[in-house]
Amino acid sequence: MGITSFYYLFLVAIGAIIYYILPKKIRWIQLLLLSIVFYCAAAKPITFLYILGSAITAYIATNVGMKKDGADGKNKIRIALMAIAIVVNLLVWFVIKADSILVDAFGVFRKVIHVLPEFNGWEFVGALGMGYYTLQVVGYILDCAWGNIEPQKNFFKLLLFVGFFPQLTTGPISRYSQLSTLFEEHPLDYKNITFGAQRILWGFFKKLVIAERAGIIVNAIWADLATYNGFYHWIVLLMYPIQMYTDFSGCTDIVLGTAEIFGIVMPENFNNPFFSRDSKEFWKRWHITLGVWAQDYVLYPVLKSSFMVKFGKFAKKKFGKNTGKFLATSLGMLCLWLVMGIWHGATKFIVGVSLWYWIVLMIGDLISPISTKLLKKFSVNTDNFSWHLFQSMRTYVIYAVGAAFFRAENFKQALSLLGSLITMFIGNIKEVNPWIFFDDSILNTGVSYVDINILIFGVFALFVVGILREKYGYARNYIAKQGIVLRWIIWISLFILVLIKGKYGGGYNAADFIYQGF
Amino acid sequence: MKKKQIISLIIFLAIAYFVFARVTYLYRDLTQNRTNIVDFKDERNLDVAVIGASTVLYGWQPLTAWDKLGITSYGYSQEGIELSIYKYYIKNIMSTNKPDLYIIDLRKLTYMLDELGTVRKYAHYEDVLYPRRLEVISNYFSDREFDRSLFTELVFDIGYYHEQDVLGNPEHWEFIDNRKTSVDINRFKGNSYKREVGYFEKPQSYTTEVGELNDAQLNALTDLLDFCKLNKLNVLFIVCPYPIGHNDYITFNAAKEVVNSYGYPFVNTNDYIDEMGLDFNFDFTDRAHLAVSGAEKYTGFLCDYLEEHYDLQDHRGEKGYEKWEEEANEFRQYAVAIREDYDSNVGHIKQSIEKGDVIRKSEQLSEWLENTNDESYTVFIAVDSENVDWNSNQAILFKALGMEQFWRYSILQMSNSEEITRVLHWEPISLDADMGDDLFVIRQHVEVSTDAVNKIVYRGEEYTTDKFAILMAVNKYTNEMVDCIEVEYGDEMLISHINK
Repeated sequence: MGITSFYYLFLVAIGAIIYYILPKKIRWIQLLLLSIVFYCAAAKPITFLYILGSAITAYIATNVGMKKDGADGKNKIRIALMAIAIVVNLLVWFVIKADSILVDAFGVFRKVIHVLPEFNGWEFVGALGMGYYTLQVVGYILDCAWGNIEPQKNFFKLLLFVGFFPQLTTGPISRYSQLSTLFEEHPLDYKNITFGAQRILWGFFKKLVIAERAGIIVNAIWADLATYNGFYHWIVLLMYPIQMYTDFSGCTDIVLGTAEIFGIVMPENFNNPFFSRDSKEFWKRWHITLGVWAQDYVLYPVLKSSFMVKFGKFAKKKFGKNTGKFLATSLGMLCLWLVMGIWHGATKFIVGVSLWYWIVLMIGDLISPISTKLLKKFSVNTDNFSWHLFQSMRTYVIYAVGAAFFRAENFKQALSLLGSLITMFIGNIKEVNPWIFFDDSILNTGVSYVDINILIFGVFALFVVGILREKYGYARNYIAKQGIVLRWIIWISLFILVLIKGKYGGGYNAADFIYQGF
Repeated sequence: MKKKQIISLIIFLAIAYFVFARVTYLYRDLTQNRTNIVDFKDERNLDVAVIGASTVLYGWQPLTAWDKLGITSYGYSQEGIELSIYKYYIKNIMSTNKPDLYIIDLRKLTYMLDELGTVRKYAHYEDVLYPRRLEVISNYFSDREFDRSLFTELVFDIGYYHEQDVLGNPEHWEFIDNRKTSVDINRFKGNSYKREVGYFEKPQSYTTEVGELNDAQLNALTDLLDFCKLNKLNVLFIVCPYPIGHNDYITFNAAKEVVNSYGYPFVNTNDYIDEMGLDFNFDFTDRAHLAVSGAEKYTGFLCDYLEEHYDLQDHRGEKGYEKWEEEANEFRQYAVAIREDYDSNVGHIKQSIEKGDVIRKSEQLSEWLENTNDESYTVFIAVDSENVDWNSNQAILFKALGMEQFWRYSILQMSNSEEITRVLHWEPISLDADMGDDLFVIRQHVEVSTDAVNKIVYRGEEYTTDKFAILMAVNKYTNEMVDCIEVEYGDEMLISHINK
């Protein structure tokens, strides 16, 4: 059962009705049961054991030995159990989701050490949302270890935190403190119901109307880069982020909207990332919860480690205060990006995505003082819309380059595409084909002019909603203040648009969410 | 939650459902299968309801019945609809009418194929939240593995149709309420007609032998009979006339016994072909359906039967039935136009038969080819072209057939109304050729080969020659062989007719 299916909506509707009928004290139990029902419908039921296992390891690790805490609150047994629990969870995740990295590593090593056996990975069926709940569990254990939160004494409540059904598709990755509302007693609130439903509808619009349509063009071009050459490569480079954003954030909207219906507030994962002026800001607006998790549980611990403290001191002494600080931060950031790359589960993500963005961010930090001086020297007015637009477009292209590695089948294919973007203008002039923008060539990718118009409208709608979000928190807040007639026209119109222009239905298989496999 | 908010929510959901249903109706396709069902909803005071599949659609003429007997009737049918749906049809009818008589055509009993298509036709044309619609869909899965996506598509057929480009089509907007909005609501009470005319020979399959119903047939029939009995319906079971074969005949004889055992009458109208005056050459469109001339005769026969066996009221001249008289007038005028169409098609067939004499009298190959180069004929050719001088004038003829210099050819040349399809091969061709129009296709086994001798086998008859080529022309309407010639290669390309 996908979350853009009728069955999902039916499950949420029935689940919500039962939820609010039940006494408040036991509503969390109903959420747990609902999560199990959803899981069995959406994935192989037996794989729920992974989630159960994760919850058990986390429960034992954080609860066993509590009474034997020493004077400083630490207990070696407890710490050991926590460490084992973290390692076990990460190991299980790695074996099931990231074994391709080992496959690639073996391939590289075998070229040097020929006696190494061939390794083609393991064929285990993983749990739904394994990448997401594993990080949540690890974060929970660490927060308990660091004293940030009290361990959850009720195993089933902990199980609910791990396996809460909406987040199993594409996250977000919540901290335990952020999801404590799971166990609170929520009254039936009109605003929760309506705002939640509106958000779900908006998510459907993004996924079924925009993402699936953009995907037609993107998939057609990526499938045959030789035929779709020249400016097609620019099209696919620049269109893929739209597909990725509307796909991922569309799912997030459905997830958060679902939670909102039950009165549960989950952390945001996106905040108008394409409005960002630089890559640093971008990564505070894109897949926010993964970035925050990596920051809190990888970057900061690494930077605070004794090795890094020593290294920082050494670097400052050797290269000066600023450079030394830069080097230490860069090393910490490299660890963060490598972890993010590994989390995505394949070597191409590590090499292409992690390293690319790390390099971009580090270069950004390096040249920031120089660029500020230059802008001042040439009296460039940076406080206007055109400068903001330039910065946003620059940030978009930088992201798009990294996303090419994400989309490509392998590292080589990504490099081939990116290389062609330049080489088409140098020594390969035959590939320059600007006429594809004016004749019917783009229709060869499988879209119609109606599809293109809808895409343009969709992007414009995203832009308007983005502006409203910047100003009012959410576009829904702005709409909620309008008169009832206008409000209903907007929501009914959006509903009709999804109904008649969404890519769904008989003979059509909506693609899985891009981020569903992690 | 405040009371005002709850009311607001309910109103919003109601509007959302209203919009959803209207969009669904807007996008559904437009066929008689749909209009027959939705247009019925405004019918009242029916005396007779005739239920079945396309045999009723094309066979029963309600306005002819009005002319003959003054009875009000409706042909409640959809193409290809299986027996399992008939009881739901009856329930639909019962919700707005109380006919004195139901006539159920059991023709589909020997042709039970597409249960899913049947359910889809029912589900995709009824109102979205119509309870019976949901019942039909649920029952479909009662003895099958539940398929979630199929279930969703059947219930929410907007998913099935929404990719169509309909917004610019005014006809679709007419059905936005799932009722045609124009004044002329289904003028002909569920009747339609086909343009084609199919040429058949009168079947000689009459028999009193009783066959056996298989499990599916027996279950479908008894389920329907149980329903009729339970609801105390007055029902006449019939089978429409068609080029019936022996197996079907004995099956219907078995069905008759079952129907009679429930106390219902059963009339296989194939027993009364002569009484109806049906001409199998021109009164059918294909193996299943009556042409307009045949429908008139069939309807007339049934009316006579009804007059003899039932006491149905004649409403002609009665107050409240003026609309029926108007519509019957319209139908008479419309029937004239249909007749012209029909007569033209019959004319083509007769002409093709008569032209056979001309073809058989052809003396030159070029003359023969010219006469048979007609949409009425299919031509088979086997030619050993090894000795053809491709630079000669004679070669022009063969080049015109798409041949090139090659060792030998077997050619299967089929002509449709606009296209000539050729299969050229150096190996023998043996296949079941679809002959005729797109809508009226008869499958015949044909063999064409150029091994030791040139040979064509058609309908089991073998025609061979050791001469240069052999050609056969077949009338695609009658499927009869018109002429077969062998060709001697030379300057004159002499032909001899070798018909059997």
